[in-house]
Amino acid sequence: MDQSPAILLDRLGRDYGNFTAVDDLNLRVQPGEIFAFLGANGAGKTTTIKMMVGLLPPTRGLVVIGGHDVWKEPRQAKRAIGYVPDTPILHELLTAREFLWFMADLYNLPRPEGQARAAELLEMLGLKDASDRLIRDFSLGMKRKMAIATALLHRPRVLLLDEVTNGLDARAAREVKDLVTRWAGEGVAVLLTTHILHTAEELSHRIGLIHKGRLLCVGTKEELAERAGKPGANLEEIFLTLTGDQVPAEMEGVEGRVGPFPSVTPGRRKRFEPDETR
Amino acid sequence: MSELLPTAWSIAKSGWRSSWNRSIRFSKMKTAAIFLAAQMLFFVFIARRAPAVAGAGARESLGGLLAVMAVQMAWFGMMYGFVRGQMQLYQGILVPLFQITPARPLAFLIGRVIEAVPARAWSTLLWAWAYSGVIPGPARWGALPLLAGFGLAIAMIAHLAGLLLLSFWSRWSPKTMRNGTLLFGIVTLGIVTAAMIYLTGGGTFTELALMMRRYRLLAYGAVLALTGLPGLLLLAALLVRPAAVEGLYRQGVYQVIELNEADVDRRVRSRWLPVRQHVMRAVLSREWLELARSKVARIQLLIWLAGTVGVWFAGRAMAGRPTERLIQNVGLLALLTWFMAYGHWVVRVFEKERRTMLLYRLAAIPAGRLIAAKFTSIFLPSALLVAGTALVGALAAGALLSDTLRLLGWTLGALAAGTLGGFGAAAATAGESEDQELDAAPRREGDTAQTTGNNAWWALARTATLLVTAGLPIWLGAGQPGTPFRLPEAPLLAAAAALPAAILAGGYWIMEKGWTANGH
Repeated sequence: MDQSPAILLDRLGRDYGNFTAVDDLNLRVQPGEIFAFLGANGAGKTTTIKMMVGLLPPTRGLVVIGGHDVWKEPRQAKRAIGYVPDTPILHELLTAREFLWFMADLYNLPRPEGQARAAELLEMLGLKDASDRLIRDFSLGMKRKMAIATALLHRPRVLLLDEVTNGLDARAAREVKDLVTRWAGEGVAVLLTTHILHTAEELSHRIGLIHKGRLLCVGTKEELAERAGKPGANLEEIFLTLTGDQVPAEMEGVEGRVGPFPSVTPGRRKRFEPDETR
Repeated sequence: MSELLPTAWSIAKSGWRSSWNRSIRFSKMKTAAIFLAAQMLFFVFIARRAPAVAGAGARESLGGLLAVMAVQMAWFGMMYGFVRGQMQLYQGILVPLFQITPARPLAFLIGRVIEAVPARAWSTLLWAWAYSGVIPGPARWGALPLLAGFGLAIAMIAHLAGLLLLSFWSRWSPKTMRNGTLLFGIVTLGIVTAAMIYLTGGGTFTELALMMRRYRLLAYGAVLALTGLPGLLLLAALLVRPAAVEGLYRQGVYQVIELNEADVDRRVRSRWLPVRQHVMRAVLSREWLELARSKVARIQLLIWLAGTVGVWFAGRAMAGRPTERLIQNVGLLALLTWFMAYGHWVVRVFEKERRTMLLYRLAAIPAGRLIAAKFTSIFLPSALLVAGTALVGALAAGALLSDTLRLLGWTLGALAAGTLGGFGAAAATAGESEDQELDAAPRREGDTAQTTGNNAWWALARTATLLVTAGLPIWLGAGQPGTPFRLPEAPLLAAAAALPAAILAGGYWIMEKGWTANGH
């Protein structure tokens, strides 16, 4: 049961001058787990993810991905990470196919494998017909799909998805959600942020709420509902209660604590059972 | 090592592919072909003067030519790495991709050097062709590949040394590294001013060229020693402790990013100007607040100050000279100083707006009112800066009040003409950059590359329009220098006034038509 976490954040913090964007954040996500990282605008979600992928150096604390410290062993850690940013990072003067080949080289995939994988992903994400068009001419949804393809190219063990369904139509969003569930089933740890609470509720095994840079609480929806003092409430009610200015008395002292793991999530969501053989 | 060179090669290929896509594959204008043709013409011109450029020492032997080639290519390579390095290493899409992938920093640096090879090889070949002309007979064709290959190798090593030095600098003092281009701006202004002082002091272009040649080796040697040696030391260190040298770049990137995040803007209190006309009020308040908050504008102020110091010396050299000479030197330098520091205010006036142009269109602001407000917001501070510089020059020259007023009249007149002309060109091309922002929907293949290719030409057209329309009045005020006889002044003056007015009217018409056609 006690396997090493795919994602480990230890007392992670980030300051901008006198302003603390992320404060003392502790978190563990296991292989195969889907973790929803929720918070209001400016709560610190994207800052946290940027520190996890190597875009932003933390002021203090530790980020360990796949057993490697992102800031001390960056190359090893980054091989394990697939990242879909809120604003896609794409070389827009390349065609879709050229960009994926280029990224395959940056991840040091053998050329035949990189090219085959690129073709497979373009097909899977419905971009095959646009393979030879400049990315700059793509719609927002197509660019988002390109970002997803890029993140999956090297078969990462950890996926960090920042607002991954933004800009996607209903069908594409459904497909992406199904893919997320499938990847988790294959042992990939997924940390996702979203403002669509229904998506978080539907996909995630556990939910973490970040508010003003601090991790308020972590747990299943039912556990969070209990902590909010609203058993049976939906995630929206829970979110509004816990991220409001009034924090329930029973929440005092649980800030930044990691909730029990693993947990049973009743209803239509499947139970998360970490596979110890992985 | 096994993954270092393939990754570097891939980084270089991505740069070539994007250039190919932008300027040939998806470009209807095939801008790269036009650029290459223009470069060839330039080098045909250089080649005709090759013996003079290579210098007397090189005429004697191939060794002398190789020495000239080595010094020159080392200088070009180093400067390329140094000046363009900021853009290559710290800006653009490759930087975040480097940050999120396991690519080695050294692969990134080498990739950037390889990426520059085609452009460098092309210019090295042209220089080699020019210099090999010194060797008579068929031996020239043997010397040509030797000179080209040797020059290219030196240039590549120097480029890498320049990038390493930049990485080292950004690691330990990112702030001074970021302001490095300011230094080049000031040095350039200093050289231009010195040349103008020399020429106006009775020197000829031939004497100036001879003097430059005399001090060339000394100047190159000093700069190469200053910048080249640390770069070479870093190259040597790379062979001994690659991880430590590579780490400099990785740490430097974060230092520069931290710095950019920390000081994008200065804190300035919001002030909304008490102007009655609402468009004027909105535009002036916004533009000037933006200016007050911009750190870049403050750095540009240093370039302007350095230019003004140069104008002081130019003014001193003009003491006791006719007013025309004062206008020719002080007036022209005052305008040049403004152009170097703030010319982009005019050239990029609508282009820099990008999405915010839509706000004016959504609010149904008439194009004429917007142009008038923008013109006021730019002309008033520009006039203050140019008048300040010109006054410094007049003071140094000990000019009489009447002469000073004449200098100010011609200089500010030229500024107004240049700004109006530049505005006309900017208004005419405003739709080009705006169209890129209008829709996120898929477009026909080639549309964007076409627009991108065009943008470079439009920027060149706007700059040329500004320079021509400002240059004509100052040339008239200076007594039409460079012409064998004096042309009648009245019609020329009318033309100097009518040209920017006509360009502005044309630009306004095109902008208004574009806005109306789009339903606004």
